[in-house]
Amino acid sequence: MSIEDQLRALGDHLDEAQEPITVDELGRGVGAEVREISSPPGRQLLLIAAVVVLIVGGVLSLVALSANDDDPVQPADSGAITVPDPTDPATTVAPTASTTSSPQTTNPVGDSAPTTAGPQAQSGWSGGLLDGLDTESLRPLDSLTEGDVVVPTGPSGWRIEDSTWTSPADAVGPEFIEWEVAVTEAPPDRALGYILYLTQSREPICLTTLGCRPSGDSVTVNDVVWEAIEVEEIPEDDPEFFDETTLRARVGDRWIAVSSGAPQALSGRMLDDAQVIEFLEGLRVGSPEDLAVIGEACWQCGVAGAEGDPFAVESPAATPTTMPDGSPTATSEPQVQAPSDVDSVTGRPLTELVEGDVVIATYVPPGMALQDAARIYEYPDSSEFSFTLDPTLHVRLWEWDEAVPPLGPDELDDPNHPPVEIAGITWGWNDFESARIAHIGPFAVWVSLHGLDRSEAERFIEGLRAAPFEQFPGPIVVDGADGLSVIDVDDAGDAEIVASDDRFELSAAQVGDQVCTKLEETVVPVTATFAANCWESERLDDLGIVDLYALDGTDGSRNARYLIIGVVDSADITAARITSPSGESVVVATGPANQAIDGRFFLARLELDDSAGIRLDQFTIEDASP
Amino acid sequence: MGRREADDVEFADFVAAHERRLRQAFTSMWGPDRGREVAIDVLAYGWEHWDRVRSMDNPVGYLYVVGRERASRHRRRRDRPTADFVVPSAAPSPWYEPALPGLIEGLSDRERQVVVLLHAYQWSLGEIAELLEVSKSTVQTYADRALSKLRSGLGVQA
Repeated sequence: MSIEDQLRALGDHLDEAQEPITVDELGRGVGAEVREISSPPGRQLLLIAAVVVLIVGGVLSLVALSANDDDPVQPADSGAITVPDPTDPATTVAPTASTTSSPQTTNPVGDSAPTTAGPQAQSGWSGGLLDGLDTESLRPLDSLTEGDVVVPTGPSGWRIEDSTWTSPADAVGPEFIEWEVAVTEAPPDRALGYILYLTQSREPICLTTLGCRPSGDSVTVNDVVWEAIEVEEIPEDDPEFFDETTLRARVGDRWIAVSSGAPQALSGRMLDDAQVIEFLEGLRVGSPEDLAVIGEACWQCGVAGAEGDPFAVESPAATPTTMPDGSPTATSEPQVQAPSDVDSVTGRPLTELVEGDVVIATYVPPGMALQDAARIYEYPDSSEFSFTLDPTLHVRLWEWDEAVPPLGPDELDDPNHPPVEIAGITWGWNDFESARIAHIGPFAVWVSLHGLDRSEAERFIEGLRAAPFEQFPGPIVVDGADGLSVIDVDDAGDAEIVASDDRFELSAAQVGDQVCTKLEETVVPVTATFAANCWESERLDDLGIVDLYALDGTDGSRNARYLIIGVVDSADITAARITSPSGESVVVATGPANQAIDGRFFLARLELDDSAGIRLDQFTIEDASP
Repeated sequence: MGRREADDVEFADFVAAHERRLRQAFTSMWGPDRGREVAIDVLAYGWEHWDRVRSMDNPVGYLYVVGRERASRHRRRRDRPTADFVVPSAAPSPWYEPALPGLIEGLSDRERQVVVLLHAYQWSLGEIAELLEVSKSTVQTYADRALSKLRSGLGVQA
């Protein structure tokens, strides 16, 4: 059978194996309780990255997630699955400082030892979570209030490993205000112990789409009543499914839940399990400042709804922002810094922003420092250039190809965050990103202002200038959510090649993790044409073209511009001529010599007739070195 | 019929009309288990927010974005779901090589989605292009590349 026929048979097989989804299956009977907030596979992976930090979003997190629910995504057509407006940040992954910065974190005791290691990190770790914390500042769970951080203060042997905390991936509705944490009890003599997940929600928590029901059992721990809930129906034929028995307690107006994960599902034993009771007894609450020593201590960084809008009507009055070392920025030694090599004189006002520009800051507020690298992110229909002022302030420039601009001042109707006009530009507010946003031509400029007071924020915005890409002084780190860099080398070592010029990127291959891990750190000089992080050697051998990407919509037209990444197999070739099967040709400079491939990559743009498809193997590549 | 009942009927009709397409779209990304799971999830989300979703011009597209967004967010997490195309709880099919699901899993995200939608589910190039926001020729490029890899993996000729 041909491969196409086999695929069709596979499709039939998939269809047969998949039951149609019925309305009843969606748990309509439990209404809002249908909230699956994590997946078993994800939790299983978290076995490797067991964590012991729970940071609960605060008041403004709630506000932001609520705003997320107001997602204005409105596809154009009915019926077909078209991709709606990606400009809505509520449905757009927004790279943030916290998610894109160096993976370096601090461990729970606040030193600089990495906490992101795998099993090897288990050895020698014997402390409890409260090591290095001011335990006196923590309060009993029953005193939980909005904005508090809930911390499991588990007994010795409970392990914190990955201090990264995130909002639930599924937090697409307003009802989620919780953050999820995995807690592993891993005594030295056991490879794996319990994994407990701690969540917080405004409504009763059910961690499965199958629905939950109270079991009728309960236990009181430190005056907090925990009831057991069970999955309504555990599929018998799903070996991967683990018992989602959960303990939950109502504390004030919120629900705290503890659930267990694979491989040691606690099942009905949770209520009388000594380890679990000990865990529950150890739950404490405190303010984020109290717990800044935990993990990344970046509780505001890039978090939806994080406070920090100095222009808010009821501004939090320049709430100090926590630095990774636990010190508040507000008390940092003032150090006004301006990038010495930014030509702020020639930088144009932001109102003159044009394609190819980047937005640069010419004023850096006290206590903040301009990172020496900017990042480029790519999305299917947009590109983003970002630089970060460590740790919590960053500026992002988004260019959108879509006709519908992202949420901005015109759409904004938030009495708490009214638009402000600065230097002739109206800045709206985006709750989801906790950022001020301005529309300038086809661009959206986002500025996160966490930790600044109003005067500093205004001064910072006033200092923003538009400058040609080439003028940006720092190196560029290629990164992004859509394959722009090696963003997530999985267990199999798969990753994607990345090459990028100033605006576009191409991804092409899966490679081993050693190469990608190494090259993930590649920093591209701003003057370089592109970066190539990984590659698929077999393609390099036979084609010389690694990938190509249509820059223009091609439907209904014969010609479209393509961005092509190719490779030459000699480090001596400094220019290459690429010629399409129909004769289009261009000579381009090759990139820097790449020792890993013993050659050079190049990028070329060609207008191609793609009406009959494009045959990569019919392109020719020649040495055009002078 | 009360309002709630009317909503029930309307939503049930919506699910009946569109769940298969959503399920296939997500299955092409993550395989049958996770794909169906996400489809359930987004439909449940749709029900929870039905008052708003129902008024959209393209509620299906909206729900697709919700699901796709989850994938993107997962990509930033260590627990990013991985594709798994081994058909669960079903006897092996004699009509395709046992190695095929594994090879599909090894494709890039975009290649996998294209080849599954195009050849396994028989979507048109235009439908896929619309879904992925790329041109049809780009879809074809991904499809060709994916097929090439699959052929290579199975040791078959074009």
